[in-house]
Formats: sequence, structure tokens, C-alpha cells
Amino acid sequence: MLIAFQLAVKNVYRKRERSLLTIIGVLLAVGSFISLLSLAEGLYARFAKEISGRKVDVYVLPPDAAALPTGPVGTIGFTSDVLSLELVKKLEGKEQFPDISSVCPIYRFPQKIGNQTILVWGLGEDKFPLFFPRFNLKPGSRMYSADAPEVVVGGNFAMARGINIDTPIVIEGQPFTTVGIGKPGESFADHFCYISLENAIKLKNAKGAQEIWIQLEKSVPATRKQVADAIKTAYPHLNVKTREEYLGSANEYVSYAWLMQFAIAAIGVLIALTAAMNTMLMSTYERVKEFGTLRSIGTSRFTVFFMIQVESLMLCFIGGIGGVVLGIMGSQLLNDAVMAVLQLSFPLAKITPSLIAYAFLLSGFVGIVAAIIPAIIVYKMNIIDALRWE
Amino acid sequence: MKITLQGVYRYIESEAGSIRVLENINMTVEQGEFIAIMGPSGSGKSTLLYQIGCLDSPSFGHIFLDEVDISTEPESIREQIRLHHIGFIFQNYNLLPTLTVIENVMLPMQLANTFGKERRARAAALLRLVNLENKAEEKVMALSGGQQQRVAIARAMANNPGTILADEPTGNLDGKSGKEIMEVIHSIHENQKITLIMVTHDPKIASYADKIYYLDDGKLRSTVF
Ligand SMILES: Nc1ncnc2c1ncn2[C@@H]1O[C@H](COP(=O)(O)OP(=O)(O)O)[C@@H](O)[C@H]1O
Ligand SMILES: [Mg+2]
Repeated sequence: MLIAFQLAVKNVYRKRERSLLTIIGVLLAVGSFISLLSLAEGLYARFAKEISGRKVDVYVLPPDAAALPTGPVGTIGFTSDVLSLELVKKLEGKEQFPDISSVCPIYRFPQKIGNQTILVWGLGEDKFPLFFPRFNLKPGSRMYSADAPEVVVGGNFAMARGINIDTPIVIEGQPFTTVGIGKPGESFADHFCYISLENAIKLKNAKGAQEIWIQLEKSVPATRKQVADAIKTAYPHLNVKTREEYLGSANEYVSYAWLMQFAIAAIGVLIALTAAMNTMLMSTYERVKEFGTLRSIGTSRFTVFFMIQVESLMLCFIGGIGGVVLGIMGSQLLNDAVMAVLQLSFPLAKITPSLIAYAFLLSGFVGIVAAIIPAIIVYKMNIIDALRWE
Repeated sequence: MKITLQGVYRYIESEAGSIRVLENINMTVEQGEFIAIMGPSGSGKSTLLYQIGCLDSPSFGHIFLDEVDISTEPESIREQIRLHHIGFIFQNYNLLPTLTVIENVMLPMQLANTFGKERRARAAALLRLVNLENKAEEKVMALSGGQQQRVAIARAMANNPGTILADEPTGNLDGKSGKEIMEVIHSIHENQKITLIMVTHDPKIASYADKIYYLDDGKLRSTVF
């Protein structure tokens, strides 16, 4: 088998220019695959971090709201419908839903700060630590109070904009004072600003909350289901989701994004595949006589088959390695571009180990498929015809 | 190695229909014998050699290498026979251009999983045998035709085969190189007791053999002792 590797290396080297072109083809395909999919990967990673960072058992949403952890872009998943504060009182009042331990109404709105659009969240100052247990305030920070114009800033956003305690921030034309800064982290929450619900509703002249988050006495799936069903029965027009259902619909959203980017990247991969196939077919036809010779001196059919596969895999893996490097650089560029165009306050792209594993699987796939036809031709070849081949 | 052909026919399908290339070939080559097959171009000499060398199979008939009927063996066994028991020498040398001289000679040993050290030592010895020990590390394309054919002879000997089949080994060479090649082949045959079948249409070359067969239009016509 070693001989298959040796001969493959020699042949790749013999046709250096052609080998290089094939490698470049695979490199570009894998590079664009990684760059594009790093966006979906990043989105997914953030969603996962975000949702697992919240301690919410049941979500109550307006009837036509899309279930998203937060719109990654200001307005996605928003609705003009609101949930009345009457409803909040009902949910909190132990008599109807005794399993509910805490209720947190939320009002969010996009806000342009500097050249970036971020989300400003309004939620009760006493609820914040309860529902965002992983959001840690830096030393010297404190929570905003309900009626003062005070704001708590996510760690990453503060870092990006050089915000410190006491830095003034203008929200909806009103001056706010920074009283708290979070520790940097990887969820969306670390890129946003937080004020009291009262302030948010006053600033936006709103009639209620956009979402209601609920914590239960017993935080287990069965109880979540029970309570969600009870709320649905009492308020059939509302959109009620358990933690599990909410996560599911977020994942569904991300998987669509993933599929879409995969489909675009797949076009490049198919082009590279065609190019690699052409190379392998050409280089095989050029060497039919050599393969005939190899067979005539006792090389097995399996070995010549393997030889062609190895050669193709080698080209594609070299291309794959280059593609990963290119993809990481491309992902950075794409990320900067997307952040600028969508005015995001947080980076979107993320290179994950699974993405790199996918890239190598993909190179392997291209390598094997590109060589399959020539390898079968050589496997089935009649030795005499091969020796006579010109 | 003793070679026996019994009623061997070979038909080849072409656009013009089925051509009979070999017709009822019967012959026995004893262990250690050196025979030559002569005949005009297109008479089926190469085809006959391919049948014996497991490169092609007869349409009818049987071919025995010692006691083994190779005409009925599956390809996996025939691959092993080619590798271990037969050495093939072609008119156009058929060396692998990406390999050096010694790599070409070691190739069959690598395929047979001979140990690296032993492989190199044996290849070097074979190159000495064909007077090419000083060309071992050169690319084969840098050699003259006669030298390339000597590499091919060393390669054919690599796995110590019982039989060597040579298809017009001097066909592409001038008289002097042809004579050198024949001397190498002849001395190998003398010293190693290998069964040797050689195709040629040059009577001078054929005269090295113990026995000469004539092939005409696929039929083995006569033998001369
Ligand atoms: N694969 C093939 N396709 C068509 N014709 C063939 C093929 N192989 C051999 N032949 C024909 O068989 C005859 C014998 O060929 P060959 O054995 O090469 O003759 P020789 O070696 O004596 O010159 C020739 O007429 C040749 O054209
Ligand atoms: Mg011939």
C-alpha cells in the first residue's frame, strides 16, 4: 500500500501546475464554505449561549410573535402586539398559577448608539439577576433603579465603545448614566444595554410588555409543560412556549440559516468537484499505459484503484488545509462586512472545531468522488488494451 | 517452471467482427528451457505471450504453469502469479518514468512486500548483473534504449520468477545494443535456470534459443531444433 502513496506523491509532483490548480480549486471552495458557514455557526453558538444563560421556564409571547431569543438584527422577531401588564399581575397572583415563582415582563427596542444598532432591554431591576444568572456585574457596578435614568451595559458593548461607570449614554433622546457594567461574555446579552421596564415603557410610550418570562417553583420539563398548558387554556390567543419549545424554534431558525449558507457554499464545492474530477480523469487517461505496466508486473486491481484515490485525496486534503486557513481569514473579513452592513454590535462569525471537521470531511468527499470514475476505469481496465493505449 | 498449452484459441472482438488471433496452440516448454517464437507482424506472437503471462485469457483451451491451470484462475490469483512467478520484458521497456532506475527495479519487490533493506540490496545486485550499478539513482528517461531495456530485465528478475517472457526485447534497439541485451538475457538464463520464452522476428536473435517456434496467422507451424 505504501507504494500507492509513493507513486501518488510522484505523480502529483510530476504535473505540478495542474496539481496546483486543483489544489487552488478545492482551497477556494473550502475557504468559502468555512467563511460562509462560520456566520451560521456563530449565530448558533450565540443563540445557544444566550438561551442557556437565561433562567426561563416558560415564555409568553404575543399571538403573532416569532420565537427568537432576540433578533440578532434589531427588528427581527419583533411585533407590535404587546402583553398587558394586567396579564402580568394575573400570572404573578398565586391563586390561578400556584407553580409560578417569578414573572418578568420585558420590553426591548433597537437603538442606534454611535454607528451601531443595539438592543435596549427594559426589565425589572429585581428580576434581572434572577433571569440572567450568568450576567455578572463588574466590581464597582450596581443595578439600575426603577425610576432613575440609569443603565447597565453589557461587558462586550462597554469594551467596544469604551464605556465606564458614569459614562452618559443617550437613549431615545434622554440622557442615561451608566451605573453597571457586565463582565464580557459570549452571549447576545453581553452586547446590549439594560434599563428598568418602567423607563423602557415610558420612553417608547408602550402599552405593555413584548414578552413575559416565567420561572417556576419546580424547574423541570413536566412542570413547564403543565404550566404552559394551563396558561394556554386560560388565554387561548397567546403564544406560550416552554423552554424546550422555545429552544426548538430558535434551533429551527438557525438551521434554516445554516442550510441556506450551506446551499450557497455547496455551489463552490460542486465547481471544485468538477475541476478535480477533470484533473483526475485527464491524469488517468494520460497514464493508462503506466497502469497497464503496473498491472502486468503484478500490481493488484485494488492497488491501482487505491493509487488514484490516494492521489486525489492528497490534492484535496492539501487544498482543504489551505482552505481552512483561507476560510478563517475570509470569515474575519465577512464578519467585519456583515457587522458594518447590519450595524451589529457583536461579531457574528465563529470558527468552530465542528466547522473545521466539516471542511475536512468535505475535502475528503471531493477527493473520493473526483477519483471514483477514473479509479473504476483503471480497476476494470483490460491489461492488453492498456498496454496498447497511445 | 514448466509451461503447457493445450488447444489454446484466442478470438478478439473488433468492429470487423470476431478475429481468430490464435488457433489450436499446443506446446510444452520444459523447466529451464529457452525458446524463441518467430513469425511475421500480426501473426499473434504477442497475444500468445500474453496468454502465458496471465495478461489475457484464452477463448478456449488450457494453459498450465507447472500443475496450475492459469486459464481458469480468478484475477486475484493471476495477479499473484504475475507478481511472483513471471517476469515480463516489453519491446518499449515500459518503465515508470517518475521513478529512478533502482526504484523501478524495486517496484515488484515492494508490491510483494519484500523488506526494505533486502529490497535495495537485491535491486543493487540485479543492476550489477545488467551492468547498470552506476546508474541506480538516475531517472530512467535519462538512459539510452539499451540501458532502459537492461533496467526492464532487472525489474523482470526482481521477484525471482520461474519464467521470463520477452516480447521483442531488441525490437527498438540497434544491432550493438540488441546484442548486449541478448548477452545479458542469455547469461541470466544460463546461470539462473529460468524458463525463457522470447518473441522476435530476427533470426540472429532467435538463434540464442534452444528451440524456435514459428507462428503464422495464429497457428504454430513448425518447430526447429
Ligand atoms: N485488442 C485488439 N483489438 C483488435 N485487434 C487485435 C487486438 N489484439 C490483437 N489484435 C490483432 O490480433 C493480431 C495479432 O496481434 P499480435 O499478437 O499483437 O501480433 P504480433 O505480436 O505477432 O505482431 C493482429 O492482427 C492484431 O491486429
Ligand atoms: Mg507483437
